Amino acid sequence: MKSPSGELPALRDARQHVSALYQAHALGLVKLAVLMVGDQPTAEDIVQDAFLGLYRRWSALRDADKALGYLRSSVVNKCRTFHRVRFRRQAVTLDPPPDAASAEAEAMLGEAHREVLVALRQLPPRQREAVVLRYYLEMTEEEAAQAMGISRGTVKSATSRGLAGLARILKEGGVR
Amino acid sequence: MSIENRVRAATRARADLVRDIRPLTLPGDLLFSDDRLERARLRGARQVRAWVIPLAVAAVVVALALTLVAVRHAAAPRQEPVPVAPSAVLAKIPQYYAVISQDNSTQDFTIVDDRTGQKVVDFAAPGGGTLDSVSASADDRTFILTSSTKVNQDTTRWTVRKIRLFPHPGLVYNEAAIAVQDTDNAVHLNAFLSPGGREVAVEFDRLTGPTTVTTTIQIYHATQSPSSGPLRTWTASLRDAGPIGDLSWHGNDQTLVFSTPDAAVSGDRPPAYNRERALTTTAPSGDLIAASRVIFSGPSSLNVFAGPATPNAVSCAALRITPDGQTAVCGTRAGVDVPDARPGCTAGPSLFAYSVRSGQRERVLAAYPPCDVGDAVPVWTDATGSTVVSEFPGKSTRTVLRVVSGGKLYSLPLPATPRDGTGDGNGIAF
Repeated sequence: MKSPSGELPALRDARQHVSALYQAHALGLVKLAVLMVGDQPTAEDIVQDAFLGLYRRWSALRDADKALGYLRSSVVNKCRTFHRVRFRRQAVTLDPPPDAASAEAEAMLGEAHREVLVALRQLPPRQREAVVLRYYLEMTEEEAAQAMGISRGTVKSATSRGLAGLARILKEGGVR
Repeated sequence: MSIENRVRAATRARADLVRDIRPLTLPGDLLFSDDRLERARLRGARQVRAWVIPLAVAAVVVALALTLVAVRHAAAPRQEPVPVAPSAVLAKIPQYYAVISQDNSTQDFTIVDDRTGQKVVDFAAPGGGTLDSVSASADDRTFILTSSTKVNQDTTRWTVRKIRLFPHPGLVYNEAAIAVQDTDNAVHLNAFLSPGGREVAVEFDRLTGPTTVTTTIQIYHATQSPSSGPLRTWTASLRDAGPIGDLSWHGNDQTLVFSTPDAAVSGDRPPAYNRERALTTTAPSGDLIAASRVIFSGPSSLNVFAGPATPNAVSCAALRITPDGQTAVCGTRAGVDVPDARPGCTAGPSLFAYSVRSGQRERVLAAYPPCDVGDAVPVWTDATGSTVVSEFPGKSTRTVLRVVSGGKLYSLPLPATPRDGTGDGNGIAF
């Protein structure tokens, strides 16, 4: 059955829903990804990729209400993969310098904020994810566990270790 | 301002700088293109699918066969498989080990016979709780399992169980709870059975301030009545630091050894060192740092997450003192600590042996060839460190078990997916 415009209903459905989701949530997801990976172009690539994945799998999505959860988990996973790949390729550095636009943007922040962000990027990816989800998105441990695909206990452990690590890095001036 | 609020403020300030993003681009610009293009694409795809798929499958089969032939006849495979531990090596290590496994949201406590690779005990987390750590005694039969349950929003309750395998035949097991006290709201809790099985050391942390962790160690009778409390208790308020780690029993059940980031105690600036401290468990209760003494200053654990590391510098993701007290076994992190060992391989995690007396590195126990990112975490050593069992990172974040003996690396069976945790070594116990 085709719509009056001749488009396949399933395709139109996917386009409409994914488009609407992008309008509503893409900016927020890019902000989340920026905090994870440090620069906006990479963050936008990751979010685009997540929406593309959703679009391709739309017909297999049983509950459209869970699309945002799927997208959020997808973004978190892709940020982790991004770090893993970069880590493998650049053994000597966990985080390369951010791109010029991102560096300029961060220069607009106060020194105190900048230090916290740089310290945040020095945490292992899992601890960084837990801290960002808990204190930027204000997720509960259960919600963060779902987004990260791990147990609540591991979220709790990663969060406490992440906060302790942040405090230690900031205290010791370990921010680079 | 607390560290949590600093994180909130900084992340929101950074996020607020993101205002414009590019529009969504779907394949072939489906979202914004003329529908006719899409219909034509789908129609063409259906026609092509009729003959392309069988052709592609055939090509894949041929390519696979050629690859297998090429691999089989390759003169020098780039990476040799790690051999299975022979019986002579297995005889040097405990026969049974415990592991907390995790598959998606399901956790299991499993005891494995490493001679056969079979699970001899396997059960899920009781009452919907979370399994947190395991430890083992020297009798190769007794294990300690800790778990936690969220009672309400503010209260986490911890449970410590002693699980004992009966000797052959049957290998049935029994379990008994050890009633720990004053542990509610700890952010993590580990328990360690003394080698002789007489006492249990319980170690837990509470976050008491934005940059402060209060660590407590309690000693309990391993066979206590439900009303018994801790025999002795030591606490320390460790500023700016994570929890203490790598706790183990030594010296005829009378000494506990644990590592503490140096900065936690002294407030030193980097480079900070792992300090291995020894606590005599017959000493009176009181301050943990005052009651313990430094026995070894090892390489920093800070570099493992504060990279980039100094070239050729070693940082120990995990440390374990051998039972004879002479050697510290250091597990490193791949990609950060070890210079390239072979072409095309950035660096594998390694095990180094340090002299406790001199603090100097004495030998390389194992350089793990694969370059999978993660920590080498030694979980058991013999008296002198000549045979060591360690976790290593495997493919797709799966942990693998290896035994190092006589300078060679062997694989151990691991018929479960270990908890994907923090690499603290508390999810596997020999």
